[in-house]
Order: sequence, then C-alpha cells, then structure tokens
Amino acid sequence: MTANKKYIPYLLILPALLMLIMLTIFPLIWSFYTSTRDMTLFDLMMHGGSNVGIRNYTDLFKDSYFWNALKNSLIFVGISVFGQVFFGTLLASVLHSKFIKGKGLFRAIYLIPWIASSVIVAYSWIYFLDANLGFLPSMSYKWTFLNSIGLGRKDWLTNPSLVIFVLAVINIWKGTAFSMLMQSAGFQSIPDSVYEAAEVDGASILQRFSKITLPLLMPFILINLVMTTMITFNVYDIILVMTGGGPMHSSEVLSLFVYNVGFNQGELGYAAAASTVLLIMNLVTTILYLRYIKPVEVN
Amino acid sequence: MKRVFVIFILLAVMLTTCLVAKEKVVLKSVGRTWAKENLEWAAEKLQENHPELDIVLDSSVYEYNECRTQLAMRLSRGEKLDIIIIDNIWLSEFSGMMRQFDTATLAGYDDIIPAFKVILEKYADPGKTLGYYYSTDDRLIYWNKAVMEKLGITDVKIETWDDVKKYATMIKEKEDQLEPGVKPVGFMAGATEHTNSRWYDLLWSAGGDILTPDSKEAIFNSEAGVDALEFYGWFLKNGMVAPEDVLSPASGEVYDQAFVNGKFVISLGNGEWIGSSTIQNVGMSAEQFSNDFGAALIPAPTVDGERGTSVAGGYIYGVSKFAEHPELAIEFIGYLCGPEGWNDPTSSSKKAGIPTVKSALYTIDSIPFSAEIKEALEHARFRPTIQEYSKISDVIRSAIQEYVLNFETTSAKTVLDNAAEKVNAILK
Repeated sequence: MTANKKYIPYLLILPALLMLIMLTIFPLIWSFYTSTRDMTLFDLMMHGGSNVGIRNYTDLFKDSYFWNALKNSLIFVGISVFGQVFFGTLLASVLHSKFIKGKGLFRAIYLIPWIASSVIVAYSWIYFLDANLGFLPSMSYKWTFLNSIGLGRKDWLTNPSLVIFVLAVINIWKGTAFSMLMQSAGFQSIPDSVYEAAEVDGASILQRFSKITLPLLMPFILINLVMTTMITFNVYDIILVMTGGGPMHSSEVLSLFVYNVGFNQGELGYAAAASTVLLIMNLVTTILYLRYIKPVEVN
Repeated sequence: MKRVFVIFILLAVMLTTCLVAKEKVVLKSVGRTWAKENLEWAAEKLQENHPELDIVLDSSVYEYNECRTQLAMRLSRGEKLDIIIIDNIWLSEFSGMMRQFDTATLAGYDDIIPAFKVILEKYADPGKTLGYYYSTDDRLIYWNKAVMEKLGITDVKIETWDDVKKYATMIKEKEDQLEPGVKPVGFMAGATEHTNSRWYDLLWSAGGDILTPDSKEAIFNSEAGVDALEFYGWFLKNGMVAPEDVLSPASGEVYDQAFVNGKFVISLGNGEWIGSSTIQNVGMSAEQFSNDFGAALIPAPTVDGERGTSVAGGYIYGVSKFAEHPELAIEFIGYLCGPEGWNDPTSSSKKAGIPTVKSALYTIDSIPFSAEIKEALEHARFRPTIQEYSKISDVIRSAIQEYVLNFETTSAKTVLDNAAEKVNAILK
C-alpha cells in the first residue's frame, strides 16, 4: 500500500509531463532536426530532404535579410518590452492608489486591447494610420495643427526608417495590459503596514517608492520582463497584417522572417534554423535577466 | 424445428440486408474555405447520380497558406486524399502528387478556355491533364467617372499609357476642385502579391515577360520592364501620387477599398472582384458602381500594343495520386467546375472569381463591366508556375517598392537589374 502511494505523485504529474513532451519537447527536437536538412515543402512530399549538417545556419549568417530581421527584432523587442513594463507598472500603481474610484472598470477597459484578436487590432490601426483610409492622415487635411505637432504625416506605415518604431508603439498599446496585470499582483502583495511603518519613520514618497515599492516589486518585474520579452520576440501576426514586413523588409522581424521563409517560400529547413536562433535568443535573454536582475532585500 | 426456421429467417434477412445495403464511399478533400458549400453541393449531385452508393464527403477547408501546408503535409504522408484544390502558382510543387487524366475522356473539358487548358496540361504527359481549372481572376483599369465628370472630363476613353497620362494631367490641373487627399492616379505597391501582378500586366502589355520561357533566367529587367516601372515613375515624378499612397495598402483589398472610397481618380489596375466583394464591403450597389465608375482593358503603351493583358490567378481542382476513388473524384470535380456548379444556389462559387469554362461565363453577367472582364480573359497570362516563384515574387516586389521610395535618386533600370541578379541567383 505504502509502495503504491509512493507512485501516486508521479502518476499525477504524468499527463502534464506527457503533454509537455508531445507539445514542446518533441517539436523542439523535430525543429532542430529539420534545421539540419535541406527540406522544402516539396521535399516533404517526396519524403525527406537531404542532410546538410550546419549549412542552413552558415547560409543564415550570410543572409542579409536575416541580419535585417534580427536588427528589427532587437529594436521592436527593446522598445516594446521597455514600454510595456514601464506603462504597465505605471498603470498598476495608479490603479493601486486608494484615491482612484472604479478601479475594476478602468482595469477592464485597459484589458480590451490585450484580449482583442491581433488581426482586429492590426486592422484597427490600419484604419487609423493608413495613408489612404486612415483616420489620422485624413484628419490632417482638416485639422492642420496635426501637421505642426508632427502627427500630420502620411507615411506611418511606409517610411522604412519609421515603420518599426510605429509597430513597436502599437505593440506596447496592445501588450501593456498584460504587464499591468502582473504588476498589479506585485502591488497587492506589498502589505500596507510596511508603508505605514515607513510613514511613521518619516520616509518621503520618493523614498517609499525607491526603498519599498521598487525592491518588493522586483521579482514581479523580473517575471514580467522574461515573459514580455519571450512573447514579443514571437510576435508576427500584427506586423504580417499591417505591413507584411515591408516596405522592402524594413519591418520584418525574426519571427515574421521564419514565417515568410517557411510558409511562403516553403523552405522548411532554413526556417527551422532561423527559429532555432530565435529560441536561443529567447533563452539567452532570459538567462541574462535572471543573472543580472536580482530581487533586493528590504530592511 | 421452430428454432431452425427462425435462424433461417434471420440469416435470410441478414443476407438480403447485406445485398441491398449501399456501399459506403468516403471522398476526402482538402480545399479553400470559400469552397465548402460548393463542395457539399457537388457531393449531393454525385450522390444523385450514384444512388447505389452511400457517398460521404470528408472535406477540410483552410485559408490560403494553411491550405498549401496541409496539402504538402498530408500528401507527404501518403494520405488518401481524393479531391485537392491548388493555386495555379503551386502547380509545379504538387503536379507530381496529382493523377493524370485523358483529356479526350473528361466530360466538359473542351469547354475550358484554351489558355487555361495549356496550364493544366503543362505538367502532364501528352494528351493528359491534371484536372479542371476551376476559377480565375483578371484585371482592368478603372476610373471614377463621377469625379471626372464633376471636373468636366467626360467621354473618357483609355486605350494607351499616354491616354492615362493625358487624363491624369487634366485631373491634376483641376486638383483644387478635388477633395483634400484625393490623388489623380493610384496603383498598388504594398506588401502583397497584388503589387507584382498589377505590374506584370504593364510589363506584358509592353511586350516583356518575367522569366525566359524555360524559367531559367530573369528578363523582367528588359526595356519593357523598365518602361513599365517608369510608367509608375511618371506619376510619382509629376506629383500625381505620393509613395506613401501606393506603398501603404496592406493588401490588394485595402487598396481596392481606397479606390472605391474615392481616394484615387484613376486606378492602374484592380481585380474584377472590385465590382463584387469590394463594393459589398463598402456598402455600394452594383448599379451605383456601374454609374459612377468606368473601366477598360489594361492599356497598351502604344496604339499598336496588346491591350488587356492581365495576370490570371485562380485554382485548379485535381485528384491526388493516392486517391481511393479517382473516378468518382474526377466526376465530382466535373460537376463542380461545370456550368451547373457555377450556378449552384449556395453561391459559394461566386467568392472564387471567374469561371474558366465558357458555358459558365454568363454567371458573372451581374458583375459591373463583365464584358470587359470576359474580354480580358482572352489575354490571360500566367506567372511562372515554378517552385521558386514565391522567392522571386518577393524580390520583384521589393524592387518595385525600392523604386517607388527612391524614384528621385535611382533609376528603374538599376533597380530592376539588381533584382534580376538576385532572381538569377535563386534560379541557379
């Protein structure tokens, strides 16, 4: 009986483990295997594709489109993550304030962009920014002050040096709610008594923020950074719908590059190599976060 | 004795049931989302013609890219798919997986417009075909007649590139009478294949082509290609349209919608769907579209040139080589692609474009400018049906965009030559 009981925990975690193996571990191994083969959609039908070792990787590092996508990814992820965590924390702190009424309503409103489908979000922004159909460009003919504050331009989605930044802002708009939820949990975990004690000791608002709030929020910020970075590295749907990665690949991020190479051009082996690089970038970023951002002890 | 009699009766009943029971046939198909109801109609039709069978249609439908991936994956593992639908540009990828049929024995095969039969037979043995060409699309030049009339420009007749320039100049001269933001001319240079296909129409009308006939080398950078790109450049250089106006549309549909909404007075190319799905999307009736807009065949560079050259896209229905019921499958496809299939009351066929069988062409008569649309079919041209086309398409599209963005500092020749070099590297 005791011996049987010993196995029960293993039995209980078995379904989850099997799911993990089937849905994550096996596809990862398969993807890595595919990345070592010269495999197209056509080869798939012909059962195979030949083994090319690391050639897909060496070709990738010689491909200017890959480096362009990598550069775009770093810009897109950098701006998005900073913006989402910053604004998420700001919104969470505002909603945590005892002076705000109707917090539930505000929280629900802020969540709308996050829960909306990416395609709907993309089309909403197209109808806001598109040079021909967009609200902002068409309003700029009527409201000329928009031109004087720099919002009257028509090339939001077509200027190669601007478009990736515009897409990052849209991604911040969509993803901030996620950060806000994470940070809200952090704020709620800080007991009021800590602030009350600090207030009695004469701590200013700034001191309370820097010595209490920020250190106690740090574990949540860390998790937030890791998750937001991973999610943002994999974002491609909004970009695909809004610009298709153009013009001239100027808004093509790495995940969209993988999609285009794999599913439009049918180069499965090459796309698998690029997705392995994407995975490694995600892992390295996560390790760096965990290594360099440490929770601070509060005295 | 009684027990023996009962057993005898039971056995007799079982035997009779087995003899009378219909043979169950499951037809498996993989196709596009819009085809679903149409497929179900054809299954009913097949059932009517084979009362001795119990026909069940097991159909899976997908969006564009997913359809291609599913077909590749399912055929690669030898799945016994009977009916498959493929875009004509996937033909070289999938032709090896398709069953060939004798052209002389296929019902209604002769009814297919000749240009489309050529594509069906290109990857088959002599005298054989890969199935039926189901639907296609073509392009015309459209203009906003209502706006032009307001500007005093009537009796518009566009046959050559110079005609377009002439009318665009007349509109530009009266620009102050246009709504703010309305441009005399528009064309598609956005992120999708629509950018390529609409430029190919001009390339072909100038006598050029994308690749050599053996698809081994790029020739779109010929004099015709340069002329076609400079034709766009002329409108940009003369301020009749700005780069962001033509680069912005995220898809051909968004561009078409902008045109119907009055953003451009003349549009250098729109698919025939502008008179059906696009106007429906913006809440315009076919009658209003016919009254307020004009259309003509894609113009030629000069009066001696070929007007109406238009890229023909579209879908082919075929039978996979793993099919369990190839004869039934091809009969099914015959119904689907024939005039009855196009007149199917479920109307799903309407979402697919224009029929390629002559006797079904009447089904597009309700679409505005259907006479021109039908005439353009006679000048249908095809993109290269080779595996590398999606890569080539990306290079050509980027070249068009590069020229549009830098038309003041670069030449059409330089941009196209660079693109041709990249394409030749892909084709090696």
